[in-house]
Amino acid sequence: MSATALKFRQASAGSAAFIAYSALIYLFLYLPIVVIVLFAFDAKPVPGLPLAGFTTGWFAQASADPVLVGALLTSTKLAFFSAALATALAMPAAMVLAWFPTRFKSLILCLVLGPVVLPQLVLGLGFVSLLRGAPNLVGEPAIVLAHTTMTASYATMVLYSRLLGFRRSYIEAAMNLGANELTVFREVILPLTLPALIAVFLLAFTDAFGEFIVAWFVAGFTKTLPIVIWTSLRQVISPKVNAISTIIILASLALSVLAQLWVIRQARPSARVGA
Amino acid sequence: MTKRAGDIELVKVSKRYSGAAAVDDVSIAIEAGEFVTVLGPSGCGKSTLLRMVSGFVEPDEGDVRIGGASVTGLPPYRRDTAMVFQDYALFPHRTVAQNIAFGLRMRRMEKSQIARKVDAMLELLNLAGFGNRRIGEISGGQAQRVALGRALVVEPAVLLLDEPLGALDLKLRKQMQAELKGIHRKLKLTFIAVTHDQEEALNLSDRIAVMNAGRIEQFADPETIYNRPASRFVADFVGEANLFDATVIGPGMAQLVGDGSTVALSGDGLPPPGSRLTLAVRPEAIAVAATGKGVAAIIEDILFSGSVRRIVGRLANGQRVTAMQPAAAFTPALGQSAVFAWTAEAAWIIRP
Repeated sequence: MSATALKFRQASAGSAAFIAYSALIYLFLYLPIVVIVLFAFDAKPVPGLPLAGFTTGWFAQASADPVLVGALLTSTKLAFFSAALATALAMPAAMVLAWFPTRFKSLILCLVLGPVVLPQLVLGLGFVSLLRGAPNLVGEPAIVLAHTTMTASYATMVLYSRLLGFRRSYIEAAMNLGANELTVFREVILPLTLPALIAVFLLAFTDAFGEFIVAWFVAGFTKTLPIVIWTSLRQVISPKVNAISTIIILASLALSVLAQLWVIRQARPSARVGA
Repeated sequence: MTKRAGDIELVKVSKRYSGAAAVDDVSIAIEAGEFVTVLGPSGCGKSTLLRMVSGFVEPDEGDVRIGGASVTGLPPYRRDTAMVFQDYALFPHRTVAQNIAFGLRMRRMEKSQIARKVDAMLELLNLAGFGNRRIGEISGGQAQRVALGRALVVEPAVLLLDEPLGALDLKLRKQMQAELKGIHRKLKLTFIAVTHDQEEALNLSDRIAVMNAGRIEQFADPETIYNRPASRFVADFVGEANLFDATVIGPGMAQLVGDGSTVALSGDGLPPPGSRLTLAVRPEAIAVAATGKGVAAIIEDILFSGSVRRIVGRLANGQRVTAMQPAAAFTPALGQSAVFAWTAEAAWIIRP
């Protein structure tokens, strides 16, 4: 056997091991999700092995279930408001932290991260105590406020780190050419940070959408999707839940792929050369 | 647009950063239409000075005046200055034409007029046909010209240039120096450039302000700066100079400190015998010979660079002396003693 052939065999043995290793990691990461999707299409009314047969009936049942569909819409709406508020709050905070000389900056950054590192149970208890002072807010407003607090915190950190790399001379150049502060924000800062803002919004949205513990504390009679799923788990797990989860999984996968594609397109300025 | 007077006046301006003075009590008056270069090593405060004129830095003390009117306290967007940034700061999300149009748009100029002015500017800068390019698709030299065009198109009273050619390679820098000079001649605007490149300053400017440690050491035309430096720093920073400490020993005579050699001085009103002064002698004014009148030194280094030869010697007092002579002239041997001589007129006297 020639030396090259030996080398080739060693290399392919190595890469086979590498592929197997990667496959195991992905299996470990995605097996729970695969199981959810699998049982969403299985005919057995109580999910479990062995599989009983293929059906799409659970999707029809789930979409006809007013509680499930209502909760999905509520969660989407509330997560949208939380994410929008969090991004709007995080952007000015990040601009100040990144661009202005700030005293005690590291202390401030630690405080900003507080809501992320606090156990969610503690945060939830805190909100319950707070809401005694404003009982009218219990329900949807309280959920939005709580999720805004939680997501604005790391939205600020993410935007802060992105803005550190932002060239200050862009701002100065615009001001030098006659743009006041608001115009600079609209004409230069916003377009150049839009990909980061969208990424942060999506991050906050997904987090607020799936958050259960704190929402459970402040929800009152409001039913978000995680709350409905949790409640239904205490009785019998219906494959309807698998069906709606499958829809959410596919939607969020599609959303993140679309966002990635959009960011890649933005980053490639030559898209319209020669036009 | 009405023409404004582009004269600039800084009156006793100072700026301190956490105690240390970046600009220290500087006063300077620049005439309209002048090309002035502020020259100095990095950290000398020259950029801070420029940013005071543009409004990005407010002086702690003193007043900045453009066209006779104080602009101290006005934000950058209310000052009639335009700046070419060191990194150009061209907006990456806009095309070449959109970048140039930015300042005109901010001035709420009519669309058709903006288009006309942008086209004229692209023409002036040899960028015709590049208007629709993205910033990422043009070369460094082109980016430099776009930055220049974006600033010039708003017809500012003053054009400020922060190390405008620093990012270009040598050949392109030479070419852009000529273009910059040509544009200045054509537009007759006040140009204030900041650079650490003395050759660029000498080539471009009507007058040079040499800055050191937050102060202006000398403000004069390039020939005066080069031939009659006002301080040791200026003599040393602009061009190459041999600086000798000497004591006046008689009329037209001085003795190098620690060496004992006597050298001739020229000029009227020389200080009385016993006074100390510094002599600045350019390397190209020094001739090296095997023997004769002059200052004796041991040859330490000889560098041949085409048309000229640099000869470095060490005096008896340990000081180094550099001569630059035509390659065809006498060449001493390394380690040998030789005589470095210059005329009385070549020794510029700097009083302490």
